Amino acid sequence: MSKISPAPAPDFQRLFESAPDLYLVLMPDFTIVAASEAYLRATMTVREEILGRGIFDVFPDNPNDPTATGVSNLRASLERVLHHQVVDVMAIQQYDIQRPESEGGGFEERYWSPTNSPVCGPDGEVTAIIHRVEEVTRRTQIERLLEASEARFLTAFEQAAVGIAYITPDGRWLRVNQKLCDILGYTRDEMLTLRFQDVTHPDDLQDDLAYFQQIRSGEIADYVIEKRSIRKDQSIIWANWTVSPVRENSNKPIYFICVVEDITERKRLEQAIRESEARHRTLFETMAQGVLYESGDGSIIGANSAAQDILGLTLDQLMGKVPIDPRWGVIHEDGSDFPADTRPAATVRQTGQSIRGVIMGIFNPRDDAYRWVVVNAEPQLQPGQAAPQQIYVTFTDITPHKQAQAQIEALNEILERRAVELEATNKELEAFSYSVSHDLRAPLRSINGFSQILLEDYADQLDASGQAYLQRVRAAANRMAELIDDLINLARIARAEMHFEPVDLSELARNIVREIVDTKPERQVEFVIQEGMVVDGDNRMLRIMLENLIHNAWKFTSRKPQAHIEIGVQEQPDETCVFFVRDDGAGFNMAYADKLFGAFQRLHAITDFEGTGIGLATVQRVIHRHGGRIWAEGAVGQGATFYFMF
Amino acid sequence: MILLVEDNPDDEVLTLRALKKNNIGNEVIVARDGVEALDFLFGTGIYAGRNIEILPQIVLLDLKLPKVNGLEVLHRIRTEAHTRLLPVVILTSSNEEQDLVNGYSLGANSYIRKPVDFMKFTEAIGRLGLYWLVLNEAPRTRNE
Repeated sequence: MSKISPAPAPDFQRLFESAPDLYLVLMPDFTIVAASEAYLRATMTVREEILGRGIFDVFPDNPNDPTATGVSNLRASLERVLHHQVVDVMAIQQYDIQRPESEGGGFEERYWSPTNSPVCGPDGEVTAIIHRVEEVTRRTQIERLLEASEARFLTAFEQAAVGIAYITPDGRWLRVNQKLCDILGYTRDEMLTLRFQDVTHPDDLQDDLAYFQQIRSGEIADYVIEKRSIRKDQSIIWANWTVSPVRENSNKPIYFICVVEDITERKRLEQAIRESEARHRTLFETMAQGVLYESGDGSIIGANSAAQDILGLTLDQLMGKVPIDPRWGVIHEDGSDFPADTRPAATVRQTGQSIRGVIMGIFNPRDDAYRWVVVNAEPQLQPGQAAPQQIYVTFTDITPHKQAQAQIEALNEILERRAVELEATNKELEAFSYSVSHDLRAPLRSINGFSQILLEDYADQLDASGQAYLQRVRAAANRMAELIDDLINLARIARAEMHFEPVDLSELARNIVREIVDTKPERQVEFVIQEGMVVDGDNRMLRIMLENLIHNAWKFTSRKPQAHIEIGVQEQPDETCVFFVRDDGAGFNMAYADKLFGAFQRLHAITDFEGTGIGLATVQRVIHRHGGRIWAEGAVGQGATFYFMF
Repeated sequence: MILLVEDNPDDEVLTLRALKKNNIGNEVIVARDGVEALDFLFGTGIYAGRNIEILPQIVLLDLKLPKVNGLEVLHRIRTEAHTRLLPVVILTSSNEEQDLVNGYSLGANSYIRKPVDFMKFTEAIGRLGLYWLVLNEAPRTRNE
């Protein structure tokens, strides 16, 4: 039997105080009776200063933190241990530590994970409480930061102005934000049942999948694609997708982050701009007007085809890249030189005011001739700047107008000369007519007069046939006087000035008929005159015309005991009016119808019907001067009808 | 007294005969151009010294005259106070509108176109004489 000497009892106090964890021992009245070194270090206290003092006296709440709950939480936990004799594990507590005055005083933020355990006496009563704490300040602070970061991320993710999604390598949506749901028109739950391939427009899918494959295999780091997607409502949107992988340690992508920007509106605007640009470009290139853009310093920065054509210069020549034909030049309308610094663009550059309607001639080397243009120049001004940033020069080719104008002037000159000649001719003709009417009548008066005197004074010396011959001389003289008068009237109608006004042909006809009936009231002629025949014409001429026609009808019905003369109008299907004068007199042979209207043409012997043969020529001239037409129908012995229209 | 201004000797003979046939016995002075007519009226030229207080009862005035034409003669007659009221009948071959208008504008009292037919001419002269020499009351001037 060996006697084992009992080991000496360890120094428990020393052991306790040296324990690596943080311990305090409290009496049931919460007075501190022991503390481990680690505790003292962690709480920046000294054992002698805390032993025998109440724990809440030593560790009050941070007075700067009105929300501090450390004291009340600890007290509640200690009370639970006292009353229920059980271990109480507290949640992590913020319990700020008072810094010693030597270290600047104040409180330091600390987090603790305390556990309070009862120490019971033999009768089960709690005799002491072991207060163990683990300082978790750093861990808690990191956790807090992580939480805040996570919260911030979530907010950013959910409230982002762009769509964001995580997708699996096979294309399923792992996580989508609200914006992406809005862009594609699906609810979040619906989205999570789909793959991105399902909403991609079929025409864009091939490119998209090719990129996706490349990013999966690591060939490319990320990609950006503008593609169309089909929304739930089947409408099509354009979006810009930025896809980048999130890789695990083995470098294998675990998922992909997509950032999706809806660019439908941008695409629409781009399209609108492209269309507008195309429209304006087409207009610019096809318009007949020449257009030049000049920069503020006067160099040409653009010209349309019309400008190149009118100026006879290529775009390169215009833009100063290729020398210009030495004959190229600009002149004023009077042919003088148009110096460059006075041309419209230069003036606009100096004044900043627009200029319109400057006419200039530009030598076109291709035509080897001047082109005439009307030039406008318009400044493009920037707000607050006096000098124009750009100048638009537009010009219209008026060469054909100029040529036409020259032609018109030449023609006018000829016309004026003709008019002068015509006036002279007319004067001569008037003088001639005057002479004819005046001077030819005088000898006729003598022939007639002296024949009459012979008959009166020498009747006894002339036998019957001698007297008959003298009567013939007198009649011939009278007839020649009539001829002269008719001819003069015909000539007058040809050159008289016309005054157009509404003329009542019915009334004219009634007046003429009244006069004519008075000359031979014994004749039996029935006149029928249609009412309301009103035309636009020269009253005097129309009267002469009607007189002639009615006289004709009167004359050629003179052999009939009962005659019928009608003056009327027939409306044609095309609404034109054909007037007529119809008689049932001697008539004429239609074979000679074309001779009716010639001067001195007679279809009847003078012994049958008197007349000079000028009447119908006069009628025709009146009708022609009114822009009208006249024709006749008739048969020998059946009467005649004269038709006329205006 | 009648002043006949007529350059055509045939017309002169015919006019005088027509007057005679109508029993118009007034003295007829014949002026064979415009100058002669004015000389007679104003006592100048070949009529220098004539008592111009004695004016004809009527002037029968042709228009187409040598030297000074009929319208100019008429114009003189109407401008001079002495002859301003003298009855003037234009007796001419012309029936040109312009002559008619000018004649009346210058103050002609009547305008007669000479008919070619002498019988009608005689008739016209007869009526003219009856009207101007018998029926018409001339203004009270010192004419004969």
